[in-house]
Amino acid sequence: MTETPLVHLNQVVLAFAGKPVLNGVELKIFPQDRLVILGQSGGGKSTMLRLILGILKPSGGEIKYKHLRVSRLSRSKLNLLRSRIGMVYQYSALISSLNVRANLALPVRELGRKSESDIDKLVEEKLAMVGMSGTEDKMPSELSGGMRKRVSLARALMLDPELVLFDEPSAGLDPVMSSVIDELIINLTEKTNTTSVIVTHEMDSAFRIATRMAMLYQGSIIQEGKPEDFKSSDHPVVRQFVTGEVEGPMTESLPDADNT
Amino acid sequence: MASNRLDSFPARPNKYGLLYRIGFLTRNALVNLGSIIWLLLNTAEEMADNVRRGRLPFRPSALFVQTDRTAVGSVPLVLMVSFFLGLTMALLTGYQLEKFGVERLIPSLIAIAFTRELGPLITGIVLAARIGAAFTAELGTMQVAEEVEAIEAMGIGPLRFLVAPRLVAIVGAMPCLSVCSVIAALIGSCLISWVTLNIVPAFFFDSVLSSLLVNDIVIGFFKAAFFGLVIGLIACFKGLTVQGGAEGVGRATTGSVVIAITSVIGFDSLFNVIVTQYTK
Ligand SMILES: Nc1ncnc2c1ncn2[C@@H]1O[C@H](COP(=O)(O)OP(=O)(O)OP(=O)(O)O)[C@@H](O)[C@H]1O
Ligand SMILES: [Mg+2]
Repeated sequence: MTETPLVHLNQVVLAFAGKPVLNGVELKIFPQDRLVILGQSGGGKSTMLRLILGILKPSGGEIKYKHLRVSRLSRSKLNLLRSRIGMVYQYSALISSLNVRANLALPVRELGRKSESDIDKLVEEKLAMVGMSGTEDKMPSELSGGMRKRVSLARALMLDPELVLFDEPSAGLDPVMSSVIDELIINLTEKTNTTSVIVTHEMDSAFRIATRMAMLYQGSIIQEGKPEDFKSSDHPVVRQFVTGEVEGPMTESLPDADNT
Repeated sequence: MASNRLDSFPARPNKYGLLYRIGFLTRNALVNLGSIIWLLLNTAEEMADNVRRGRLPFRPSALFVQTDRTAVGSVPLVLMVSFFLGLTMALLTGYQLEKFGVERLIPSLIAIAFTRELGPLITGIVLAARIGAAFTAELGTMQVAEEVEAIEAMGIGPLRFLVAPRLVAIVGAMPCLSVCSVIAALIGSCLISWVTLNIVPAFFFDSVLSSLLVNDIVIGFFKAAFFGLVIGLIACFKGLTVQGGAEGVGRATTGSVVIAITSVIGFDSLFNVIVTQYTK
């Protein structure tokens, strides 16, 4: 692994109001990876994605994007960097006062220099990619949760980003749509050389997508490597997570978590 | 943990002492004032960033939308409030001045009071309630639904995208609405003076024109624009800093209206004290 990483989380520490969430996370994301991040609910996975985007600043360690230190960038440089990263939010985060077309057009209108007719074409193209053609004039409130998710995915792809962060892309989707999204994520890296980071709880789709996996547990990465390594992991926590058993170190530590 | 906190409760009575509270409130006020100035500077910086890249600071259509609701939408309410206020003022002062036989002073009194003072003030109060509340509620709801963060994550500066058009709209709208307010008040007072005091409209407007100084008009204009800035900044600040879901949005909206109206009245008094000191 002499390749330079696209993103490097270097001993990242983050605490919310004194409560540590990330505790020295060390993770490298390489170009064209499809990195799946596993971890418990409330374990800090969404927080990690926010750190990569520079929305949260680490209290220790640093995050590098290529050679740039994310937390030290000026505002305009940071905005430029963010426009090269697509983010699919866990709860979609579509602008509720804009219809689907305007939501998708937003990043291009604000940051690009395309004409309105080109934008319209692009909107149609990206909506077709996520199987949502014909919904251009709907408001987000008229869509189901899963449909919103897909629109949000289309929005993240509008500027043809080099890195896409997916926060639970297939949560709330039916199995067929979930496979469609998985397929889309795989195509994205294979056809356009995009790198993706996917946070997910669904082990089937995790193993279908991943070229690499990382497991976040109690604030740090406890295992990182190929999907096969995860299937045959000796680490009790990883094994419990992958097989979804009730008995194991994760459930034993639950009462502990309540006390703190 | 919780019981520990309860145990130490009576051990810190100072927290409720007068001095502590004054200090606490002052510090809070200063922190908020600092944050609001920070908001203004950062909005300006984000706009400048865009200009440096050869783009407009925000899309004109965003400004049209905001101006339409802020200015055009507020015209009826401003007109109505000012009309009746002017009418009442003329009526009340008329009865007093009539005793001394100087009711012909009413036109100049109303004209000066409204251009310099009541026009911007009434408009400010109306806009704080009507538009400031709306700004806070909208931005607050967007903040709670992670929409503001999503905009930030796309690399679109949320301040120039959300705050700037609203600020520009309200700063532009205030002087115009203030003019509407003055005109409505003059019409209201003119009508009531004609009916109750037999002052004919021709005389009324003649003495309005002869009593008004350019100075009064300019002062009123700037005051109105400044109030607009104050209301807009407070409303946007309150909206973007909402915490605690739907209830938080409600609390922020109430807070925004209360603080904006208080600040407008406060700045107005300060302004008057300073201006009368230096323009005597
Ligand atoms: N803005 C915030 N202020 C305070 N605490 C926060 C904030 N955001 C997240 N946290 C805390 O940080 C921890 C991690 O949150 P995060 O959203 O990253 O979890 P997650 O791994 O994405 O969980 P899930 O799988 O349920 O989405 C949680 O304990 C949460 O309470
Ligand atoms: Mg999450």
